[in-house]
Amino acid sequence: MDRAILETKCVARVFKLGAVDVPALRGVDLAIRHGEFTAVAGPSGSGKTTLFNLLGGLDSPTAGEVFLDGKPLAGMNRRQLSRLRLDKIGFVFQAYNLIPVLTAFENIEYPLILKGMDGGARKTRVESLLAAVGLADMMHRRPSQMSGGQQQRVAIARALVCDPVVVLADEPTANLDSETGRALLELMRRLNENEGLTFLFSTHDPMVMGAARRLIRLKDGRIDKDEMQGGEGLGV
Amino acid sequence: MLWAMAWRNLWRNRRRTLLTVAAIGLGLAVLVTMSSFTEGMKVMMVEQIAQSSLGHIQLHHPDYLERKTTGLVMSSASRLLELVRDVQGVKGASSRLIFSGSIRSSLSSTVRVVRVLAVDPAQEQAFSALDDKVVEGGFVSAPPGTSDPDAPARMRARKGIMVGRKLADQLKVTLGSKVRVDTAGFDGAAVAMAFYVTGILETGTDAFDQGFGMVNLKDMQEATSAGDTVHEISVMVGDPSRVAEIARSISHAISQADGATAMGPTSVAPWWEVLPDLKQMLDMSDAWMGVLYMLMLIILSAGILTTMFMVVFERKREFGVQLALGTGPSRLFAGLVLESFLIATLASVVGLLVGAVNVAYIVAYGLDLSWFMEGFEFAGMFVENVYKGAANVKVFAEPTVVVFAGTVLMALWPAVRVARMSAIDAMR
Repeated sequence: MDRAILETKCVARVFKLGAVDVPALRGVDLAIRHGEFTAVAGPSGSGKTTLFNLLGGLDSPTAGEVFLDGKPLAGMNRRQLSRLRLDKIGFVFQAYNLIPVLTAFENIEYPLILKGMDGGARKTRVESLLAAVGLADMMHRRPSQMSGGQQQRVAIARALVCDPVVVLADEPTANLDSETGRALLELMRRLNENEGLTFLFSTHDPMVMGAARRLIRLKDGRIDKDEMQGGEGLGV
Repeated sequence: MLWAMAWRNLWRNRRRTLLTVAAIGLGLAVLVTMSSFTEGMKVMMVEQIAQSSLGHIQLHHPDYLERKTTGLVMSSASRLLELVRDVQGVKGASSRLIFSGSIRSSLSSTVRVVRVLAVDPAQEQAFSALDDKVVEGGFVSAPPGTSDPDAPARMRARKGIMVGRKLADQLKVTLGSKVRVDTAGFDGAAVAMAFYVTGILETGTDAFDQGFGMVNLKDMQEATSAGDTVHEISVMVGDPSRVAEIARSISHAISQADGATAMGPTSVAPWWEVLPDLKQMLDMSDAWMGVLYMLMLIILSAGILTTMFMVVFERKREFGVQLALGTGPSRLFAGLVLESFLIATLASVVGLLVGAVNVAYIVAYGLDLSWFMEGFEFAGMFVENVYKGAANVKVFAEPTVVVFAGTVLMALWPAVRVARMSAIDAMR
């Protein structure tokens, strides 16, 4: 088996709300391997977002350890975590979160500029991704000139542009109609199957849960179920 | 991309950006205008006072300014004057004897204390603005008949005096009237001299109009047996900004001249050493400009900080996403500072354009303050009501640097806030 790309060992996260300690995660052991197409599901308050923040290096656990591509995140400073996210993780957010003043091309190009890639190489990479997500003719449009589905495609391209080891997609279809959401899911599934890209979703959407080949259910900060499934929810 | 993002971010809220730019720009325009006015006023005051009688540089016996004693004179005055005139940058120079005494006429019982300046009319007229203030008669001219070889000897020996209007009225004299001046000579002995009024001037100041008389230097030198000595040589320069340099050149020329020792000790003083009160007053105007800069910065800071914190508040989630994507805090910091830099640049253009129009007006036409005040007297010299502005690099550069730097510095606080943000807190 491939080694785990993302791994947690007895990870717990407790938030202090005034005098009260609120445990969001209680001892979660998880391993995500290369090529997985996995969904993390659960009701509100189950700890999905907290888990994603820990896996993405945006937050630190109260207890336990988080590993990304074999490296422990503990002890890394803010700059190192920032660089790690840039190099290893692609984020897709529920609200697309594109930079409004940048065009589609520039939004996708942005992480490459942070990495210091030269202009020619950036252009080639961005154009190929725009083509891969079917938006080659939209490269000069700004987010305000695109539909929700188009914006989310740009977000996916941005998440992939630095060749991440994993794409963390937090409720990627939540703001989309079912048709658009399905098309987006198909895109991500194709990228997973054709390119071997690893996807980890946080979701309420039954369509996404159905499309995943592995479904992890969280409840009250713990893993309630972790099961492989056919992943035929899309009818792909 | 950082510059492109900063520029485009400015126009996400076009109205707010334009208002901020306009506010800062107008603030800058006010400062430029005030700076021009202040600088122009300083130059004008120095020039008006220099042209009254002060000059830009004065030469005296080293102890004269402190003690003002009649016996403290400079020897070889003609030679000194020649040396001074040869110094590059000197526009004109005038030698003077200065006496204090009393003046009276037979037409009035009034006796007045006067300061009598004995000058070479040609030298003095070349640079003194008092020439323009003569309302009757001539500038230190000789009485009629003095150059007529057929006139009686008594008439040819007459000496002329120019007095102020108020003094003439008090003594009840007019052109041709005889006055008597009593003073002390170089040996301390009393000297009484008769003069005939050949000129009346009106300056608007009591120091000249009531307590002043001007006579011919040669007449006074003869009457007091002064020989080739004077109390003062007043120097006008072509470029007032070079006064210090020219004063040093004059000192050097005198010290290096043949027969320097024989000429006796001479002190060369720029105007600010002769009239330190004027220098203090002008320095005070610089201090007031500094206060104005501070006040304007405080006012502008409120606007800039409000704008930048609004930006941070509105784009908090966006900053969180950028952090999540791997953007370093320093890049976010730089982005916000760049936005402030661009606002400062736009505002500077607006401020300089509006300021330039204002400056062009007050340089050409001046600001007439007679609505608020009459002209005033300083050190016995009259300063006009209409102040013309100055247009030089300092007038434009100093306020621009202050406002520009202040605008950018004000962005540091919100920029630090952004750089310290936590990605997940910002995205929540």
